[in-house]
Amino acid sequence: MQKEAERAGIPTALITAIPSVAKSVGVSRIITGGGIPYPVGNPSLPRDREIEFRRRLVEKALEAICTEVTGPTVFDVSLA
Amino acid sequence: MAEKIRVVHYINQFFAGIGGEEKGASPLEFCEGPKGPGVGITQTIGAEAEIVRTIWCGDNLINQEQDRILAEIEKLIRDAKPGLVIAGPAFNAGRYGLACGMVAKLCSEKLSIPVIIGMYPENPAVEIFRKAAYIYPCAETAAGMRKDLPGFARLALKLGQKGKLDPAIVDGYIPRGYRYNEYVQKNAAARSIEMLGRRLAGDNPMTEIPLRGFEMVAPARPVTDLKGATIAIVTGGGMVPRGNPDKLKQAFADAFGIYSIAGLAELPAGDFKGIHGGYDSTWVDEDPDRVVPLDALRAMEKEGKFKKLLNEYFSLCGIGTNVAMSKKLGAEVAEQLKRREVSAAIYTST
Repeated sequence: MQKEAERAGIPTALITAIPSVAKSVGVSRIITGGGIPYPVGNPSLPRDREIEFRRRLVEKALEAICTEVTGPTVFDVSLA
Repeated sequence: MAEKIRVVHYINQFFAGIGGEEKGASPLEFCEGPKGPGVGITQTIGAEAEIVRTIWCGDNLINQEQDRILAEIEKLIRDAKPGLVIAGPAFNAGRYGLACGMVAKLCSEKLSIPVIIGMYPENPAVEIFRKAAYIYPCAETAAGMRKDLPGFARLALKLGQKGKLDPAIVDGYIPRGYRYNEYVQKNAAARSIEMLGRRLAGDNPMTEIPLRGFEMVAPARPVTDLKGATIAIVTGGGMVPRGNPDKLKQAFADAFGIYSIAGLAELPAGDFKGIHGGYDSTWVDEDPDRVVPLDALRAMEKEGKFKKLLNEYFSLCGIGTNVAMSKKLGAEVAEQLKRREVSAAIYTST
């Protein structure tokens, strides 16, 4: 679905727990998420750290859409 | 009579009878003998091959702890001393397909044991692992099990007996992309003229070099002025208002919903619910922001990191949607984003 948005000139970034699939399918900007049933979160973290993690993932996604890429690119966020 | 070929079979938590999505983290386990689809496989080839061990693992666990789980699987396979490994069939289940692919890669690259996987040709794992294993094309869902299993089993047996298979067009598995030379009578010039002649006559001769793979689309230009940008959220995670007002399908989506988030600082649990049929929605029901990160985006909107968060988000259940439908829905979402003058969108997937 994202490739159609890209084709229409709208830059997008994907937050997913399985970047390999996204890369293979051709998604341009990929952020490695927390887990399959919680891509923008991680319930095993204490609440305040989970919110911080979510914030960082979204910040990375916004950074990605401002970044020039030539092909599928994975952006990582640390939990530290 | 020749000894039966020893086979190890890899399946997942669902086909092992443990449970569905909610058991995605279930541990690596095994049993001696066939289980689940292995029983059906035995019905077809049991005279010549014996599934001596069946191994299964939760689809989420093996994807999230690959190295550890594969190391244990390696040991379980080695100990069983098989002449053949069978994985799946995974149909169009993405994570299960990935798991089968990882097991197959282990067998072909580390253990030198012939291995065959069964899955739907559009399963994303096919592109990643097509060179690592023979992949027998199966139906999209487990409804095709009955129809697919005998052919899958027979090809597996052939692989076990011969160590390798004939070219894909002969044996019917998904072409792996290896090109082997072979001698033919006519040279390329003669063959291409003959093919052209047939095509002009209305015939449809098979091309010698088929193009395949996912279409690559050039990335859109990045946003240059984030502070002036309008951002939108699109999710394949199936998060919708309680009651699923548009009656979106839980799988095999053919439509998407557009839902208001005006005035909301976060997606309140209870008012929104995950209806996706492909993952356990417990954690996103507890906190819908885990799949539609409204809280983080609202905070950043307030801080002026970008101009505006669109007051609506787009949602559907991204599971089993075939490529053609995904393109159609994707183009419709793109059209809606353009109408709302969205500068960029964050997608989330499960």
